Amino acid sequence: MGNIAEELMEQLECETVFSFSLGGYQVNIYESVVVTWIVMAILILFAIILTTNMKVHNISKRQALAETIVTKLTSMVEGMVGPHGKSYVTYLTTILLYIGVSNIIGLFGFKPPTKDLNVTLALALMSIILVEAAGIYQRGIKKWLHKFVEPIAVVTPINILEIVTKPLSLCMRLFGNVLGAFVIMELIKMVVPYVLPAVFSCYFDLFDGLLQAYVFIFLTSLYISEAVEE
Amino acid sequence: MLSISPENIIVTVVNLLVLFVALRIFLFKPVQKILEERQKEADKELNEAKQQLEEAETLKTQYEKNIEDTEVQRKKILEEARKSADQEYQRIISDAKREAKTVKTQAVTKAEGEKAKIVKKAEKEIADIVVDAAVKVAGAKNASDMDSSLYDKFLEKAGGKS
Repeated sequence: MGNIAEELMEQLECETVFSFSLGGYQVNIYESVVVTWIVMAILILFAIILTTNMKVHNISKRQALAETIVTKLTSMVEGMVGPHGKSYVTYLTTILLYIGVSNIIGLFGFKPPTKDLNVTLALALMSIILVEAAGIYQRGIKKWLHKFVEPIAVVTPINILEIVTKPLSLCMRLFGNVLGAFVIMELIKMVVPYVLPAVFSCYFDLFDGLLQAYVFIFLTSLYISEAVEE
Repeated sequence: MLSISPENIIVTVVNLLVLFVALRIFLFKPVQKILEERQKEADKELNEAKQQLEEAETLKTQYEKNIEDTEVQRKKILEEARKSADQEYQRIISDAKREAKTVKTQAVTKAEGEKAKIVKKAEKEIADIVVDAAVKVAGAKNASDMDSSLYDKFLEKAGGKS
């Protein structure tokens, strides 16, 4: 049993792939960052392959796929973020693609970057910065500040606290889900090494991975539409 | 796993921003551009179709108006033709009447002239007969006999004449 726990911990550990010193400060680059680069490379490569030589008429299957992906995803995100948040759709779609690919990249033998708390923290930080920036940009700083005393002044501390809890919940939900799925998969693999993991992998790696990407974007969109609504 | 390392967070943020910009350049912008172009084209075609429809509509009303005008024109021409035909008819009829009248008058005049001539001739003949009779009576033996026979002869001749 101790063996299993050790193995699990080793699997969960985010290794430092390489490190360099920057102005006397030791910078350790984790595996998650390297896998993120792989994910980025995959996404960008796919984008380039899909969108080269695009035409208005007589489109190729490649272009049709690109158009379908872009229109479906953006319309989905647009539906969530509302009419005032149209300018944030591209960013949200990018994050959706990133988290989606990150969560299912475990199928190809990589450690999902979203299993590293630092990545989900970064995502959540960017989300909350985007949400508040959108609020300030859309409503002006006065109205944005006024939102903290709405609906009544008593709730102001809670409203301020939300700035922390919103990204924290986003970050931890994603992290916890991916981590939990990973742990359960590892346990299943230890108990029954054949067939069964494949079945569960469909749920934990594919379905749950994409679902969590959707949930993350859904909540961020919700916060943005809340922040920008008149 | 649960260790927070600020440098990795920063690197991830940079990564995500780079990914965002890259996908914007390589995926979203081109696709949106193509979609917009297609939309523009479709709009253009739609506008053209609308314009053509409008033109067709205008032409149609114009043609309808033309047809109506033609109808009015036709009626007018027909009316005029009828009127002029009527006038011509009237003219011809009156001409014919006038001519007939002239002819009749001429005929009457001529007939009257003839009659007068005949009467004159008859009168002359009667006078001759009377003179003849007088001569014959003068040649007869009995005056009273002669008188009555002369009278009878006269009556006989006059009755045969009239």
